[in-house]
Amino acid sequence: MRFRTVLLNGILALGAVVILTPFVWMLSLSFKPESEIYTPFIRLLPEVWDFANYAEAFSTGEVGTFIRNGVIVTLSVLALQFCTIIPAAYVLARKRFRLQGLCFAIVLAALIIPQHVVAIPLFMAAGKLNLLNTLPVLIIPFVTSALGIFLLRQHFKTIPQDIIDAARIDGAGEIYTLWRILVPQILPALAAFSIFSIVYHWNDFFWPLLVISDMDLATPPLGISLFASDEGGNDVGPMMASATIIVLPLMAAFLAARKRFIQGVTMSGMK
Amino acid sequence: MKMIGKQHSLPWIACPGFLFPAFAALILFFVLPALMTVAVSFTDWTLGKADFTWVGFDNYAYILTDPDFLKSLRNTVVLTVIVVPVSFALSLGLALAIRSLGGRWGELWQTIYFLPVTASLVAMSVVWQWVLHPEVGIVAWLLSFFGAAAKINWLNDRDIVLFTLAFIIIWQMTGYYMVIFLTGLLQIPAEMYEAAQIDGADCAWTRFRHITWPLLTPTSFFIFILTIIKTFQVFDIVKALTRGGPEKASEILLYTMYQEGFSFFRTNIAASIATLYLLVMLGLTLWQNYVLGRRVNYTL
Repeated sequence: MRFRTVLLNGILALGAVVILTPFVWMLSLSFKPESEIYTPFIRLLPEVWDFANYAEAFSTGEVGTFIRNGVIVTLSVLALQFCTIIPAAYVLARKRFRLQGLCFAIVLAALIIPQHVVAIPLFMAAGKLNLLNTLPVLIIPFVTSALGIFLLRQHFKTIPQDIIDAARIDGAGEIYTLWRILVPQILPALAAFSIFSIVYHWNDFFWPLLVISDMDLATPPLGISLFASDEGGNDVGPMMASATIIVLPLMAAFLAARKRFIQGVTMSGMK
Repeated sequence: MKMIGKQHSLPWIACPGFLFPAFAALILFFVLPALMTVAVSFTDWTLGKADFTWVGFDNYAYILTDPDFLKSLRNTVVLTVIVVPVSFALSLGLALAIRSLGGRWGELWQTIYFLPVTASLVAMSVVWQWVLHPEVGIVAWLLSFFGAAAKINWLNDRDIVLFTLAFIIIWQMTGYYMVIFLTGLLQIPAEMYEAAQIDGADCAWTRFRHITWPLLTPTSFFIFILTIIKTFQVFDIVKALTRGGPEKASEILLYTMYQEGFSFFRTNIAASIATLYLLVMLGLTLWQNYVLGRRVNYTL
């Protein structure tokens, strides 16, 4: 038994080296001065620790702007999604009406349709409405989420009817019952969905690439790709510093709340 | 008492104010645009044109005989054929190893292998570019350390580039499939293994073959389809790393659609590719749902 544990750990450690190499290399380069980057002799730790790369990432690379845009977009999207999916999921789960089947079919259809397929008409509409190169265009198409409705619907279904009836008898209205009584019951599902939504929109590249060309409005992935293809192409140090700064927030969130994070992210397996 | 059981006593709609925002958005941003994409694929419309005519399947006839599109299709299939079995086997192996270790070691490895899933693939592409750099990259250094003289241009050699991309995709996504496999493994009741032990199934392989593998079938099938879907969705690293090059050797379906639609503005061609892509996604998803029934959702 002992031998097997050592063997398994050994194999997993070898794979872990491959997994971690890019991260280690990213950090290493981000602290190296240019003279140490263009050398065929590999050193993991810089001879001279150079924090100038990080300063430069913020000055020429505008990584601060990317982060700000990313935060605005992901949080706005999440807030709007909450406002739309919670009431819709509640009605789908707890009410009975004749168009229910049709409504659920629309949710399932939207769940299957990939972002890339709807991009062409949405891009043209955004152009017609003069919304290209604005922050709202990064938010508006995502104000609701079929996955969110689907997930919350299931969780609303599990709440005992007694709770709703009790609230009714106490004279609570539909809106009060939903937001004050039912929403607190499904907080774990909301947390998982939040993580899914934030990770998805923080890392989304396709839609920002189509509708944003202005560096000042770029979200993190678009920003770093513009920076890499622009002046920064050979500014390896600042580029690695930018990559580190962009990758860090979600990674920190993952390390802080591992189980919840994995649960949220694997939810998108549906998509 | 109202007659709840009868269909016609039900209202057509309940709480319209609650439903409206979500369903207006679903129709406006998903259903209608998808239908428009399909419609445009049957016209000669391109961006900026005032009018259009219906051309039937002409666009499809065009792309299906266009060598560039066929190459892109072929690349996508090759990428899938490499990525799917490798990530399937690796993620299953990792999950089994981590499950059998358990405890702190298991958690440590799970955390490490999941790390790439959390990272922006575009940002990591920039990093991979320098990891794989033929002169100053860490891989080049390793190769020379082991005595290889030739400099390999991982991202710029048309015989190698697809394998390089496949490697990066596997690097990023294996942890993702691994945690889904782990969820599946956790659902296998421990008594099954105990019973097998009593029946004399001492060898790990026997237990895997007769208990783990059969009981894991739904998860395995789910992941099999998921890896295909995810590989067809690859776009970010191609755009960030190779732009389909060299000589279109790494051009894949979504990148071709992006080029046609947003660089060449041949909207009708892009719409045809998008429609084919939608059909593939639809087919895979329906297949998955058909086989797994209502269990599709069990990763939640």
